Amino acid sequence: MVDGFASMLARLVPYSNFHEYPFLKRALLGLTLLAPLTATMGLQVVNFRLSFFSEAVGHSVFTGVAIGYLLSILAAGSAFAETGIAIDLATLAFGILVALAITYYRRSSTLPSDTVIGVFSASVVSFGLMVIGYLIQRGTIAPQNIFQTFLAGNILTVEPIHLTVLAGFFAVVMLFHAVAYNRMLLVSLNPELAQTRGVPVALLEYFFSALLAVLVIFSIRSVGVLLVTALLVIPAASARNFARTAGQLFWVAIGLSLFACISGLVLSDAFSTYTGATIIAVMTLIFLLSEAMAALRGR
Amino acid sequence: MSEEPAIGMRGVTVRQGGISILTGVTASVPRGSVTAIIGPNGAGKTTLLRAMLGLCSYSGSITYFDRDGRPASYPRRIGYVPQRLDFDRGMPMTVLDLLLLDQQRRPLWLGRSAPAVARAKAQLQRVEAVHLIDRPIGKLSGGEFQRVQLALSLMADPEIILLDEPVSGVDVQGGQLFCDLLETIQRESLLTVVMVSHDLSVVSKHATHVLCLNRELLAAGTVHEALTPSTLSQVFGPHALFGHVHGLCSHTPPGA
Repeated sequence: MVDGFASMLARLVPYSNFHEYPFLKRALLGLTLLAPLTATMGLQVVNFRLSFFSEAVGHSVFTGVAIGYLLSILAAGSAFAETGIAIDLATLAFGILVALAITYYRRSSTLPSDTVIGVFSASVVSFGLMVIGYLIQRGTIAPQNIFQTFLAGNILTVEPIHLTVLAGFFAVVMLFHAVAYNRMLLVSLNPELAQTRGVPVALLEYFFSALLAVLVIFSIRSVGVLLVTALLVIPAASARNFARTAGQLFWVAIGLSLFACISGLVLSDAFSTYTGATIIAVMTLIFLLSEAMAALRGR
Repeated sequence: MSEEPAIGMRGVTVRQGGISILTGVTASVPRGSVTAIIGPNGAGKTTLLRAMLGLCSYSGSITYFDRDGRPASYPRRIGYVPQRLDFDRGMPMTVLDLLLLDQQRRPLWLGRSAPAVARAKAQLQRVEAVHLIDRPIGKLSGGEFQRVQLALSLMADPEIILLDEPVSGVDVQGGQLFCDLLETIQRESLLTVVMVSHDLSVVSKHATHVLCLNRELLAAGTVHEALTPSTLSQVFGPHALFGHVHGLCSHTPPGA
């Protein structure tokens, strides 16, 4: 069914290679699902100044992977260990845990928020690298796998099961935007005003940070740890320059993100470049254009 | 205006990080009054307002009373106008968007609801800002933005409005217009208004009652009862006294 959808989508994009290679079609479907998610969640990331936060959650993937490998070793021989589900689940669970922990500390600590995030970010990377280094020495994992999958990402290896899960997550995030978009905007304008209006500010913050963590972990498979924040922030920042109303903001961000993701995929296939990096390069060009337009319009 | 309280405070004490910011404030805000909370910088004015809004923890009690004088629990119909500078005005959002945020269930990306738009227009009309309806909030002047914030607070059909330094940093004309509109709306809708202000000329012209604070309550009552030269000198120091007392003593506040 997933491949059926992918083929339908491929017919909409005038690029012949989509019809020849199933992996390209799946990548197209994956990015078509991912682009609106990162664009719309990115709007709140920009509003709440959470780009450093999403970076830290991205870094948690190192520890998540390390824990996943350790679990696989413990459960060696079982289907759980063989299929790599242990690693997927461990990165997801650990990402959510880190996101909730940072949110809790940000809310309760007197330290500046970027300091709290900086400490978390460094500690999850260091712990993860320690364990991964040990596993590389032991010959359990190959260093190039880690680089390919997590640092640079690779949407071309996406499998139908990932796409099914991503489609489910797409529904959850869109439901969140349907219920909470207006309230999230009010909270980002002035959280205390929102609280006096009966908006459950803390609950929204925790829920949003958990959703964001899941999205970051999903996105790392496509664009890698290094570029995941860009995927969230750049379309949203560009949309702020183009849009005039809160409603437009949502759709413009989605449009820009979809355009960059699909054209990035096509260009990367045509020129044999990393897909993630090419997508972000297209996004950066769009951002520069939006900045120029904002400057001309006098902001 | 009666002397029945709309808000009663008993021994309100706020401590943050081991430091007392406010100690034992016992006072009441009369229904239908315009009560100004005044005091020097760091006196705990905004803290008292935040305690009244339930935004910070405190010991003691703060009770709201309904029109029949029965205690009513928070949250009830309260409008809040935060300080202008505490607002992120960088995002693309029109005045109408802002007023609709907590008025319609439908997310703004699926369009605006006609009844909510009509309510927003009606409130903007009251603050003489209906011409600003499609203006981005980032492009409003200080005075315009405060009028829009007032309209936003009126969307909840409040009985009480709390304002934090509403005209601080707003140009003189804009501040004047804001205060005049607030006074008209307050009289029309029989509102109780509580505002934090450090500007004694605003207080003397528009307030009926004052709470003078400097980490504790120094004086409370009608403007004339409470703002005696000795209180003013105690609150603001002898230097501040000279410029303001003359204006205060010769002014008769409305309803006094």
